[in-house]
Amino acid sequence: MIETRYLTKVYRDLVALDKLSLTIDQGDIYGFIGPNGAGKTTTIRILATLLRPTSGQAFVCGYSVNGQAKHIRRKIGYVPDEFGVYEDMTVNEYLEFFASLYEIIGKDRKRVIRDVLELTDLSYKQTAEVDSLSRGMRQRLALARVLIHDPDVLLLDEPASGLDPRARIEIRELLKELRNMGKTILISSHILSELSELCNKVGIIERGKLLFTGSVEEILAKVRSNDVALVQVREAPEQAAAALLEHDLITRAEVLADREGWIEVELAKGADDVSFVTRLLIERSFSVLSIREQEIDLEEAFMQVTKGQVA
Amino acid sequence: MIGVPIFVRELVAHARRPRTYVFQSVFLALLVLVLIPLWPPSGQQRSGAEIAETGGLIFEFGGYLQVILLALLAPATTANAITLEKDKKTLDVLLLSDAGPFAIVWGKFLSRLFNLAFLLFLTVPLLFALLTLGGVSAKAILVQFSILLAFAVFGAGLGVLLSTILAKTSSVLMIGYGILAAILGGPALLQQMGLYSVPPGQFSLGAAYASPLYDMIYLFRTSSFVATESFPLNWWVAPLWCLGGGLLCVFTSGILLPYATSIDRVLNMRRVLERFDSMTEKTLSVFRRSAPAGAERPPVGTGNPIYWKETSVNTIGRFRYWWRANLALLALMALSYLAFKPMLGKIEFHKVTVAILGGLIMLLITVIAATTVSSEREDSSLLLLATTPVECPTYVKGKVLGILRNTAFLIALPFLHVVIFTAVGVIHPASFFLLLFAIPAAAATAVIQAIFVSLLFPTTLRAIMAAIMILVLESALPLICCLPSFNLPMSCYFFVEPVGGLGQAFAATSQGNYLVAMGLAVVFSALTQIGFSVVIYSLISSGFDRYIGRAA
Repeated sequence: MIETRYLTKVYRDLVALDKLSLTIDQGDIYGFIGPNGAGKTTTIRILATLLRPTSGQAFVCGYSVNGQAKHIRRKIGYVPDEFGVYEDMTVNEYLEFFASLYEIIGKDRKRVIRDVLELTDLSYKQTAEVDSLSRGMRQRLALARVLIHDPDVLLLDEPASGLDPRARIEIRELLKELRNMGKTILISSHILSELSELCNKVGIIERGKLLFTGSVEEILAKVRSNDVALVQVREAPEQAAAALLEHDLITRAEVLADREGWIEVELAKGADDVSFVTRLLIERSFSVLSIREQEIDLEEAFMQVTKGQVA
Repeated sequence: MIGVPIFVRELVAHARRPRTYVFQSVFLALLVLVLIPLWPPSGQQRSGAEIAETGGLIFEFGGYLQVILLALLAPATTANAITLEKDKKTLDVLLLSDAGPFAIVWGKFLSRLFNLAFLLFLTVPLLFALLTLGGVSAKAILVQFSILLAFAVFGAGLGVLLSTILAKTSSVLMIGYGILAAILGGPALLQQMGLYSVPPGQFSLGAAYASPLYDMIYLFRTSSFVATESFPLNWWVAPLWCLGGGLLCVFTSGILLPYATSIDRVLNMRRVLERFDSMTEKTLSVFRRSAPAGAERPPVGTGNPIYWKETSVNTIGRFRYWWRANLALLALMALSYLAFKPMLGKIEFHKVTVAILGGLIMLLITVIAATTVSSEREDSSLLLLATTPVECPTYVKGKVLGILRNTAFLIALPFLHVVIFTAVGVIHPASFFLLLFAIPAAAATAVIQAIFVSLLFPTTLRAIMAAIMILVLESALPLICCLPSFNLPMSCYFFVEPVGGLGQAFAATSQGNYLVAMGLAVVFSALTQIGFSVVIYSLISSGFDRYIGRAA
């Protein structure tokens, strides 16, 4: 559905994108992660036919952004990171206006507008002026707008940016519905916890270079080579940590200074699971109050993969 | 010192922009281009007195030209001083700082005035070169410079005040230009319309006091001050009030700045129209049995969506406002007839009236068209349009027709005026047909060229400035070739002729049929404008995707 090959964009002496190659299949929800200035918006803008790449290729629905932009525009829906406001237009007029730009006329237009308003839960706001809507509602309206012509691909640039928790959850639920409808979605966001729940694939970009692309499970597996357990002992955590380190299958045991009695334990490959640590401590007469496996999330994976550099 | 940090910040930011130097170069180039033809040729034998006279002439016309250029530049330099802060939501941050409102407005005013003054200083070497020709004294240069500087202070101060109380940069420019044009040209118009008369050979002191332009004419024409350094009485009145007025404007801005957002909300055009709308609605309801039915605006339908947006959503285009605003224009016109009743029989009054209407048409259309794309770019709605399949013909056609429809009544006003006074036997019927070729062609060309400018320039302010500059340059075309309608006010003035006297004065000094010559000129001019519009459209079409910010 979306493919880029050695995609490069240079602004004077700034390399915004450096030979970026990625593939997004039909039905994928691809989370595009990177620090500010990493090249996410540039990539999305190239795919949305708003920017021309300096070199390399990009294809959307089989059409090249170099020379077949007109075909792509009918296949995509683009939500920029800033909402374009039309003062003095109602929600219904706003959608009608964009429907007419896509040459959707007559009964079709009415039906489509009714459907997208229902989907985005904005039916009750159709006579409200666009500039009177809250930020969350505007984002929902932006999604309604891009769905009007039933695009195959949605390009969403920071759709949850600046939203309050409730509005963020609403947008997330809406995106899940779109995923169920079979849309291919490329979404850039800073809210990584939400991406991990929503996306089946992620790409991590920094200084214009794609550092990682693959499924969420793959990235988690990549950054976590060994299991890590968090264990709480009743007393003498320092001795307990020292006792654990004596075992060959424990590669690291550190007492957490900010949490009383807690030790972070890294298990070498070959250890069964974290219950192994419990057994070991009980054998050495330490009282174990609690133990759990430390889960690694997308945020942590992102921090490990990137170096905090921007282009 | 008051406003120093803001002054320094603005000055440094201004100095870093390459366009500052481009602008200064263009300003100087314009002056040189206009004045060089007056320079005495080196090959000819001329007396010292003749050369000195030429020097004086260059100096005089240089002064007039600089006043006009300042009238264009001063409001433009300050128009976005506060509106930009309001747009970027940084005004509150500035007001919460230790700077205070007076420091903010003085800082902004002084930095912009500095740039205007710098432009004037750039001309000093040019003026001093005139000393070599004789006929101009250093003292005369100083007097002229003080008038120009005072006018710059007024223009910049007025811009800052309007920028404080209005929300949109385009409104600041429109009103600013209106006020400056009234100050500079008002005395001439009033005199031309016969509202006051000056005995032959004498000069109206009131005009010299009111207008810096007339003050200069007063200096140059009523005395030989350039050569003899004898200054006419009270030449300093105009610069003094300009200076005081400018500073007062800035001071008032300082007082109003904390309430700027509330004031611009009250003065918001849409709200004003809404109030006007509800007022007329109440008045009309007295005569109506029931409230008017139907939607507030027509549905999008199957036509051109861009045209629909221009004529239904934009404040000026909304039908309810549109026809009521036009009704108000009509009422104003009728009232003006009552006010100027004694003048209605004089052809000079009608010539000037139609010329003013022609000027208004060009200015309003140019400003509306110049903001049409750049404002979409500023509010990011152009970005959304760029991702849709909308193509150049739909977009440009929708914009051009929409703007012409919104201003249709204003365009029709000169015709209405001419028809009325042709019917009562004051204006020659041929005037209508001459205007018929001149006005629509000029209006359509103005729209399409301003849309092109709007597509090229990233901000509303720059787009308006560039479009008006082009308009000013075009208005010189009739002086160098036979293209009358490129200067619509001038052609309107000449095309309105009295019954039984069409071109008598001209015919007396030339051979041939004046009416035929005039007719051919206006048809040729209209055809040229159509050709010019086609060229501009092809330029828009060839780079449309790039201009609206998308890949081809």
